[in-house]
This record gives sequence, C-alpha cells and structure tokens, in this order.
Amino acid sequence: MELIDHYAYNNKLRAVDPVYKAGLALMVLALCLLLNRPAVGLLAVCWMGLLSTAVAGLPIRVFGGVLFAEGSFLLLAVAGLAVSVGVGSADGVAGVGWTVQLGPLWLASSPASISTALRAGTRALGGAAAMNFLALTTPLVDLIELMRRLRVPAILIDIMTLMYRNIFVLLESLERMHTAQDTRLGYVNFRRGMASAGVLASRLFIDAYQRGQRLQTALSSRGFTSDLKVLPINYDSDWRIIVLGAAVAASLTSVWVLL
Amino acid sequence: MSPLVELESVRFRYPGQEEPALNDVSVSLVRGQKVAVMGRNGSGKSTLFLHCNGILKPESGTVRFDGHPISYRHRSLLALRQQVSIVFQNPDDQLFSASVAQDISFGPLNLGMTPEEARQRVQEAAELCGASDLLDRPTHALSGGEKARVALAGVLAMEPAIILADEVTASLDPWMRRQMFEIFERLVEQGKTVVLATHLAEVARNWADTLVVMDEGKVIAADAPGCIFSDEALMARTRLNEPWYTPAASVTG
Repeated sequence: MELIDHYAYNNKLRAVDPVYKAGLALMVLALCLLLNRPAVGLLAVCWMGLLSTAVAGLPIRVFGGVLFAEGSFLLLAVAGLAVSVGVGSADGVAGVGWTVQLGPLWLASSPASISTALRAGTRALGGAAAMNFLALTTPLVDLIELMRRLRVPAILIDIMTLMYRNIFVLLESLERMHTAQDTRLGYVNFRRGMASAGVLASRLFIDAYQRGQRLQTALSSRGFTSDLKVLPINYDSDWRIIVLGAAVAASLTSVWVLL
Repeated sequence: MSPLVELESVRFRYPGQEEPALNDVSVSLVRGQKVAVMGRNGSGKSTLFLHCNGILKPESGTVRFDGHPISYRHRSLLALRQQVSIVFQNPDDQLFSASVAQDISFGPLNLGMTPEEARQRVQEAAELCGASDLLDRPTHALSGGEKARVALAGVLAMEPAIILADEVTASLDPWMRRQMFEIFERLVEQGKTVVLATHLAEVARNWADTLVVMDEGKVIAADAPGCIFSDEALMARTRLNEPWYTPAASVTG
C-alpha cells in the first residue's frame, strides 16, 4: 500500500485534475464490462499499461507487478470456471470436452467453459488495469477532493479524510510497538508470537482511541465546528487525457465490433 | 504591560481523578512576552494551556482574555480560539489531513474566510515556518521536524495573538530546534506572545522573559528566569537543573 501511495504522489500525472483520470479509468472499466470479448480486456490492459508507463512515467515493473499480483488471484478464480471437479467416476460427466480421472476425483473441461473463463478473466483484468492506472496516478486526497466536488455528503468526506490519515499514523504506532516487542524477544516462538500479537492488537485499539481524543482537542483548538473545512486543491487540466480517452474508447469499441 | 491571558484561582479536576490537575492556579501571561513554563511531567502544564483557550472549563476560578472573563458559549469560544492557539506536543495528534496545504487551511476556513483569503494565509504561514516547499507533499511522508513546522503553520495561519506551544521542541534535533526558536523570535517581533512548555533549563534561562514554574497542579513561581534560578530553596524543591554552562548568570535578574 505504501508503494502504491508513493507512486500516486510521484508520477507525471500527479497535478492533473483527478476528474480526467477518474473519468478515463471508469470509462475503460465500463467498456470492459459492456464489451464482453477477451480482446477488449487485453487491449484495455495494453492501453492502461501504456498510459501508466509512457504518459504517467511509472516504471513498467510497478504497473506489471501490481497487475501480476491481481492476475494471480484472478487465475485462481477463473480456474473454477474453466475446470469442474467432482468425486467418483468421470464416466457420468456428459457433454463435449475432456475429462481426467485423478484417483477418486475427476476433472472436466470443455471449449465452452474455457471460453467463459477467458472472457471473465480478461474482462476482470482489463477493469483491474483501469483501476490500477487510477490508483497509481491519483493519491487518495485527490479522489476525496473529487468526491467533494461531486457533492458527496461532508460526513463521508470527513470520515475518509480521517481514516486515510490515521492509517499511516496507526501503521507507525504498530511498527513501533512491534519493534519494541521484537527487541524483547516477543516473537521468539509461535506461542509467544501469538501472545504478543494479541497484546499489540488490544494496545493499538487503546492507542487509536486516545489519539482520537487528542485529535478532537487539537481540532477544537483550531475552531472545529461541524465539518472539516479545507481549501479546494488547484489542478492542471490535461487535454491529452481527453484525446487518449477518445482513442481508447474508439479502439476498444472497434475491436469489439470487428472481432 | 497588560496581561493578555490571566488565570485567577483556577481549580480543575479531570473526571474520575481525586487530585486536582490545577489547584488554585493564578498566573498572568503578559502581552508580547516570551514565557517558558517548566514543571515535571504531570505537573499541569498541558492542563493550564487547555484552560487558556477554553477547551477545559475550570471548576472554580476565572480565566480572562484581554481583561474580560472568557465566555464558554460556542461563538465566543471560536473567537477566543482564533486569538489563543495551542501547538500540541505530537504533530500527529494535530495533523488530520494527508494534504499539508489542506491541513493548514483548516483554521482560516473555520474563521469564515473566503478561499482566496485562506489561500493567502496558508502561503504566509507556510513561508514563516519554512514549510512552503512542503505544501504539496503528503503529511505521512514528512519527517518529525517537518511535521512540527506544518503543525505550527496550521496554527499561525489563524493569526493568533498568543501561541501556546506544548513541548514542541522536545523531539527536535538541535538544528530544527534552533529554527523553531527563530520562528518564535519573528512572532514576538510581530507583537505576539509565545508561551512554551519545556524541560530545558537553558531555554528557560536564555530565551524566556518570564518563567512559570509548576508543581503538582500549582504555579509555585512566576518571575524572571534569573530570579527563579537563583532561588535556592525553589531549586531544591523543583530540581529544575541549574544550566551548566552559564553559572555566572545565575545571580543576575
């Protein structure tokens, strides 16, 4: 998560208005869902990779790495679509396709099920790539800002603001406490490790609660009334994103029509 | 010189505590002065600060700002907190936003400023605190010293008359600490009052115009640092260490 956060703050599209980036990503996601063909999903992955690396300047290793991690999970999920598993004899399994007997189990697959898996897998991968593009180029602060502009209720905005900030604060506490336990051999073996982790978790709850109270005091001192008023952030507009977005939409649609 | 913030016979107990956190405290914070507050951990320094801007309300006694007893009505408190600012010891307790610029803009916007005015205030405060180049950085990527400067900027953007800083220099390296004091110096030049809770005797002696000493919820001395450090009975009681490097200065007042 810290890696994604780091690149979200350090890429060439950082200053671009989040409305462009979110608009593009959501459009690609929608197209992947609507135009249900493997080629569309794969093309979407290529486009998002190109935008993330060539336009936003992210290392290809980062974009690829994140996508690979998601792809691995996806593979496990679609494997179930492609292959059916059963107990007993494979003889009773009807339909076209292939069956394999593995001791008491049988595995079965067919062109139809593989096609279904491929469609679902590429579609999901394309959508994931679109979301990765957004996540890797846009810090959460900017997404929250976008939601503020879209008139999402202030209470939700405030909760997101505080949660996002406190993730890092609590993560720091967690690391400090863990190191402190570790230096006193709190994780010397499994038993002690479980006990230490339990203490750590309960201590973190107390820590979060006390922090919340101190934050309340500090905010009150600065004139907090009902909601967390902050300045809107100024962004650059970027016509390239619109042009590229149109190109992406056109190519995805033509691939769907032509193939 | 007239007192800006004045506590008179203030008594306060935290809920569920037997011992009062403030026990009959009377102290004046004089306009335009540099004030150091010393005292052991738990002696009531933070509690004292929280009374100055009305976060805590005394059980008995009076808190005055600019000669008038403070009112604890909502609107009056907002006006008071614009004038009386607290910088907290741990910047992470104060910085609520992952965006530095947005965090600093919080106070000015609470005062009902327009976005343009607030933006101006953010720029000025950041510049004063040497945080101009931090405005676009995420809060969680800042170092401790940078966070401390941003926290201070967030308070200064409200242009308070008095800044109560609760051990803000405690965790800073010597260079950062020095920069912090340079900022305090500029604030005092602007006519503001700076109150600093500290454990450093050298700070109290060399920087402060007035030293307030607290012990077990009481203000046991408030005077020029020289007078306090030369009071042997007081030193024996409080164990505020003699500054080791200027022994000769201990007789001047």
